[in-house]
Amino acid sequence: MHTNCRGGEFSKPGLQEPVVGGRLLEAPQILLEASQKADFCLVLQVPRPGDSDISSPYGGSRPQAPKQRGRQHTARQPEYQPSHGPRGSVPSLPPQMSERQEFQASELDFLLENSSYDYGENESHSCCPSPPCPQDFSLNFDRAFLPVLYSLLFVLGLLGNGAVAAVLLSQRAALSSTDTFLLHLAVADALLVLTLPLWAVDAAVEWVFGSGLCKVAGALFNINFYAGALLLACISFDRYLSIVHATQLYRRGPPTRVALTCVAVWGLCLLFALPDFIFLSAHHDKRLNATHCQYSFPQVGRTALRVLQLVAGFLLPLLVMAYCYARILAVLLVSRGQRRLRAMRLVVVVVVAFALCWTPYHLVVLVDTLMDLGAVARNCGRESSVDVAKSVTSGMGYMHCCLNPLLYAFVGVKFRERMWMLLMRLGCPDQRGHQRQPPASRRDSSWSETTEASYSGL
Amino acid sequence: MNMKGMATVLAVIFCATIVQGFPMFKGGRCLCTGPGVKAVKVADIEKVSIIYPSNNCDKTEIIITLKTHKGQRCLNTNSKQAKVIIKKVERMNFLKYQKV
Repeated sequence: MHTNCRGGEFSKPGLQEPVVGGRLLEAPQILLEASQKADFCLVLQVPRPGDSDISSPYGGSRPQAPKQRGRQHTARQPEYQPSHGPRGSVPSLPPQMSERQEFQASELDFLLENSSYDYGENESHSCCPSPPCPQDFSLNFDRAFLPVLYSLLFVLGLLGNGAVAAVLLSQRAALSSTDTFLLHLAVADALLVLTLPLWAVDAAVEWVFGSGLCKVAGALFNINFYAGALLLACISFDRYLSIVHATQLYRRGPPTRVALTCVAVWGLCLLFALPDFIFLSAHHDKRLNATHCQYSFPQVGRTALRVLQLVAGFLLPLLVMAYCYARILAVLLVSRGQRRLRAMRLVVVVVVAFALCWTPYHLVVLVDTLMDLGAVARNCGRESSVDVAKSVTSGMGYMHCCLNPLLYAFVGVKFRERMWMLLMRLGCPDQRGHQRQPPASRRDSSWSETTEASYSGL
Repeated sequence: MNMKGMATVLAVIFCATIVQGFPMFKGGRCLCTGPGVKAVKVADIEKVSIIYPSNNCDKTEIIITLKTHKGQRCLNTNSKQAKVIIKKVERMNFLKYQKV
């Protein structure tokens, strides 16, 4: 879409310029004009830059970017923009703090005073004119792709996880440890996908919900994202203990131990969502010319933190899961049992699904980080591709939320039985008395086949 | 002992939680990817925009709109012309500030 080097640009004017010009400079502006000719025409887009709230003059109710795009191809005029707005009014804070200032050509006389510029062999008129890179391609892609993806994940995730939660909650007997983790996992995944419609609107238009909802939705998203990861680790650890060490850590101890673990999980997640509450806010971005729910800490620390996320947020949990399930596999390999193969297959699927869903995303983030660090050369086309890739691969990551019910609950024969029983009970309430209670001996076996295998197969 | 090891691992994992790379939290990038041109012919300039550092870009960027659909240019902020512009703007801002 965007190339760095556009030869012969002057022979075909308007090929790329209106897009760039439209998004960048045709935005609504408040012109604070001192004088038409002699003085500067100071264009201040944001009077209060340090403000973390929606501080733009056209705030949240501004006509959105897609609308702008419609007119920029037609209404783009080469003449100077007419000055309007409060005449002679001057910003009441140090103007050097404003985020964006613009000057018309008539105010640029001072440049002529010093006309001995090094034009670099007519550089500006030949090759490589260094046009700005407004990322229109990736933004438009996000605008179309993300809302569709998020809606789909919202429906699928809510259905699947809702079903898991309903089945588990409808159970009369006390939940086993794995079932408790599964219930919490379903709740976390459901809460995560609940925020997706908000992000769909954010991607399609901009963040119109204000700073408060930005903090809450962002925190909710992250709490549940990390709760999901932690609970997956808990499940793998629980299975590892029960199969490899056969210690039944949670079953023999006081029943509150599982509950305590879950409380600890949620507490940790809440604790780590504190930065979201502090730093997230609806912020008007000068360069995107739109309001988005963003972190208000600068780019400096972000790169280092992103590296940490790659190592600790993905590689470590993957290693924990891989280790636990590898040990389980080793036990299953030497064991005899009818469900052995099925359980082994499931173990592989669980780990591979996690890796498949999250590896592409982290690879893209790695490339992005390398670009930030300067190890990979930046150019406009590459930035666009990275942004598009990030949208697609993060979608794959969120898809893991919808896969969890399938991978952990619906694979179990007993879980499916119970779900049909629940559905039948819902369909024909008269037959309530006819349902058979699950045998008490199986009370503590989870519906996941791997754990089941530890009892039936080992 | 296993619980302790598990807790340690999880603690390390969760240290990473303040990092967000998700697209929903992403802002924009810097608009200028390259170093930018050293200078633009003054006669061609229609408009000059100076964009100061924000959450998503640590740099000050100067974008020049050229007349008659000739496009936009990123001006190298270390170039002579850019320095003249920035100096002028700062001086002007200072004067305006003094007036208030």
